[in-house]
Amino acid sequence: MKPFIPMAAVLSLGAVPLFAQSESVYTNFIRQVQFPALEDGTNLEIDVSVPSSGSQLSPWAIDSGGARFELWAVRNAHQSEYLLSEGFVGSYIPTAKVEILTEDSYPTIPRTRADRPFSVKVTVGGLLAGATLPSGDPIPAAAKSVNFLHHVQSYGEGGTGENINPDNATLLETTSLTENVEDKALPCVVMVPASDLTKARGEERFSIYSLDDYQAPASSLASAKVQIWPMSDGSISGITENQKVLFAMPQITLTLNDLYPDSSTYLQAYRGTWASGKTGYVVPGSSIEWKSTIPKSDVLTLTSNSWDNILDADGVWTIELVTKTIFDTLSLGHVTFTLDRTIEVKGNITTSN
Amino acid sequence: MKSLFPFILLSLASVQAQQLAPSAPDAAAPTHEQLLERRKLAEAAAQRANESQPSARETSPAVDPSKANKPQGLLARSEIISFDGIATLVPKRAIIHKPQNLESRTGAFAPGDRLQPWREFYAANRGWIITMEVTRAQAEGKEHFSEEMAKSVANSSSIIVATFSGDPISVRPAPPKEEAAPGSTPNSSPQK
Repeated sequence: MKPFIPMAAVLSLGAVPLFAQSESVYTNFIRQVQFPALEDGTNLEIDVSVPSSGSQLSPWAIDSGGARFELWAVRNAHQSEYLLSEGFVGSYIPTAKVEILTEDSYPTIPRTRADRPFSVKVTVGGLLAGATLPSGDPIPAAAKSVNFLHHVQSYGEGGTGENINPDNATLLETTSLTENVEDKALPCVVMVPASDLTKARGEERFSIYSLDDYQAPASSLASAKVQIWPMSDGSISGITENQKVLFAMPQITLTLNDLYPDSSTYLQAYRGTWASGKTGYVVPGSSIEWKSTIPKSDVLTLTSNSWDNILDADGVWTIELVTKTIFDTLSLGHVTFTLDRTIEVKGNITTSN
Repeated sequence: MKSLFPFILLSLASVQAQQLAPSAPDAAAPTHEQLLERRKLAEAAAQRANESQPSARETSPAVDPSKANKPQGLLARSEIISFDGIATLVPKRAIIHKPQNLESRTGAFAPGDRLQPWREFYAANRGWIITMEVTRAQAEGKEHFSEEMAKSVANSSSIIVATFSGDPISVRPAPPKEEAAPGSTPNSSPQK
């Protein structure tokens, strides 16, 4: 391995979603593990002190065997641990970067909805071609190709991804990459398994692994994941299609399921029958502004008083449940009814004459 | 003004009620069948793209390196040092000396302990923890500690943590004395 020059790795936490917002709950540790293993089968390990953001040189030079850097978050109260990120660095091991791009600009973790496309941007550098180096030394297989892995994992019905075991993820496919690429964007559709694909919820992980080598096992060079949240659905009850409403409006119930983590949902009312693309008045008390990390389900009850005064004339009206996200504005359900509040008095007047 | 008050409230309510919806529904939600079709098309496209080099892509591979070579948990590979409600982690075998009277401050978390990174913890506990810089060869168990270092370790009344550039490092026990190079002194056996 002489032709390969020992190098130092740069530790960087800038792009890693740390548990920094909950500093009192989580403590982060970076562990550097040296390869190859020592004669007794153990690996040299160093606890690397790094500020919560920024970068610095690894304290230990990386020579031919390479080193794995692991970023852990340990939860104080439970001493439960989470491997947030890992990366393997070696003198002849290719470098890699994986980035996931979605329409949602949420910064902490890439996320999207079950029906939306996304793309994976891959960079691989340092792959060597041919059989030998100019010096005559053979090029190790691990310097000539890497594997691109695609894992999917469902959170299950109503799951939020908390405490999931990544070991239960399914490896969907492996692709061998033998050529260097820079920022190559791969278009993707959601592949998280679900019996109803509109309700897929889970995550997809894309990783680049080095090949098994005499110095070190196949190790993660770069990895990124995207969270998939289900499409919303909803219903209006308490009023039926084509119902004739006399006097006061009835109390109605809105059932909302899986509102996207960054969404505005409301009931609108407009005159006339339902038609796609119509706007109306927002019914007071029906709006939900949901900004979170997970979807929300809710049930709202609107009393007669809350929406009676926006229906300002008799005739045919439609109420429509609408949810707006970064992706689009979708109708979740609608009811058309006829309002008739005019009191007709039928009678006659007679006199004693 | 008193008589106007209910009127103003009514007006505000009216304004709120008359607020127009921000945008009209602009898309029909795709169905399960449509999404299934999209997946099939994407899969077919991936297969076509791969036809020129069929060995490059493998679906449902038997070996998953992310599981086969998954790192063992951090806690299982660490030694805990704790005192006064605060604790930290160092790599196993980084503690090279543990006097009996300080034994209780290592090995396990005390209930309610709060974790701190090593440097913070060490800064607050220099009174009973000292560090000893080691060389790479010493950490790998290829070189023994100098006689002076070995004596200093043996006589210390503090917990001694091996460090490299100030960061705690695991130290593999050096081979027995008879296998050591002539003229060198074996290091003390790190605590397991």
